[in-house]
Amino acid sequence: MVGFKGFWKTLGNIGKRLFYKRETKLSLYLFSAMHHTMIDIMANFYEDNYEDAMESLIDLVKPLSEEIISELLFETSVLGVSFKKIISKFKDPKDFAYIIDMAMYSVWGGGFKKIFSKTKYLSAIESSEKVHTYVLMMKSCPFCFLTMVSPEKFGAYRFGKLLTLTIEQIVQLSQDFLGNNFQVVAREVKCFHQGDPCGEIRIWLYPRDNLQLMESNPYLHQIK
Amino acid sequence: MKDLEYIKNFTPIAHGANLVQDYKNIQVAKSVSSFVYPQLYAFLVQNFEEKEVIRRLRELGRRAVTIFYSVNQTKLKKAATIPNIFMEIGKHSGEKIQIKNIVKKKKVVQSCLIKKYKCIFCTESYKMENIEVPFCYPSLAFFQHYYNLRSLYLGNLKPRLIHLEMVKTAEHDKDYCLYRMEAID
Repeated sequence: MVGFKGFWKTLGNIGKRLFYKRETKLSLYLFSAMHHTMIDIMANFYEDNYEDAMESLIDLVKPLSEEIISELLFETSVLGVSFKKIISKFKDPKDFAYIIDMAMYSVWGGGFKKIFSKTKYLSAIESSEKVHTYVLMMKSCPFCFLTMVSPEKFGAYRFGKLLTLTIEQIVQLSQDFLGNNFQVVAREVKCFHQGDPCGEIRIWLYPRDNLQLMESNPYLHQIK
Repeated sequence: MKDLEYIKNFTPIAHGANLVQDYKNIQVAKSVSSFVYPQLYAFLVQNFEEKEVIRRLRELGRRAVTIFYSVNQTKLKKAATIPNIFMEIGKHSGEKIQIKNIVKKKKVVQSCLIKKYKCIFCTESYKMENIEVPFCYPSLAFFQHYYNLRSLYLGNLKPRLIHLEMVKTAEHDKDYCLYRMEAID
């Protein structure tokens, strides 16, 4: 028998597929090439300083990406059921991993499974960072695989920062909508470009009344 | 030729990330993938004169083609006619492309118009007021270099080189972009 959550997951699964199907799409090859080139053009402006280029690009992109993601999450309906309605059924952090996967599938379609593993939830007790944590493993990386720029040039940034930022915003906007008082922080803690055998994005939900917990997260000191 | 050298010498440094074949049929929704370009465009417009903005936007398209071919070298080796090559781009960009007014001389295409719907760059909501530089110069450069690099690699395509100029850019979502292609060699 399909439970309460199962019912909304079924609707979400149908919704994400229909949304993806009706969207205008571009090939991942072209998308990745454009991603790389836009970083290059910015780095060109900063005389080949990729760290400054990433910093500047992120500052520029943040407001618009927030607007677009907000539109996707809260103004999209498929077959009369809004994504907003589905999100509202996953208020509990332990259930919320499903929403991350649903949003990712809506953008990446079937490619999602080829690149990412299903999002894993770690409770505050299980997580080494002592807060609700989501772990998104990457089996391959469409951004890193086509670069010849050395990782050292990026300083504390990772090549997939824009993807990490997008995921961070998806979770932050959803958590705010759900009325959960969390500050969402995401980092790419493992990266093929850095020589790791896999990619891994970690998303932490920090209670806004206890933000000093961030101090003990080593990743936040090493990675921007 | 510098671009061809880059493509031939392409060696990925992110070992393990390279599952190229797996990406063959993967497509990404345009809506979420398009939030970087408008901001980069605005940044260039704020920092440079119109001519320099256009040069940098063309450069963006040119570099994107080079990176695209570096991981898609089989495409570079495949001969095709001008209309077929442009249609091939449409498959990657999700744009609807029509080739019009083809003028031929001794069976070789000398010029044509490329009419493009659903441009991946021209999204109405991000149009900026009082800015005359068309939004989709990278796309125009993409068409030009997609053909030119393949032609230079194969060495037997006719015409050998082409140049594209902007005729119009889409003014709203139902509208189209129009580029003029001229053979230059």
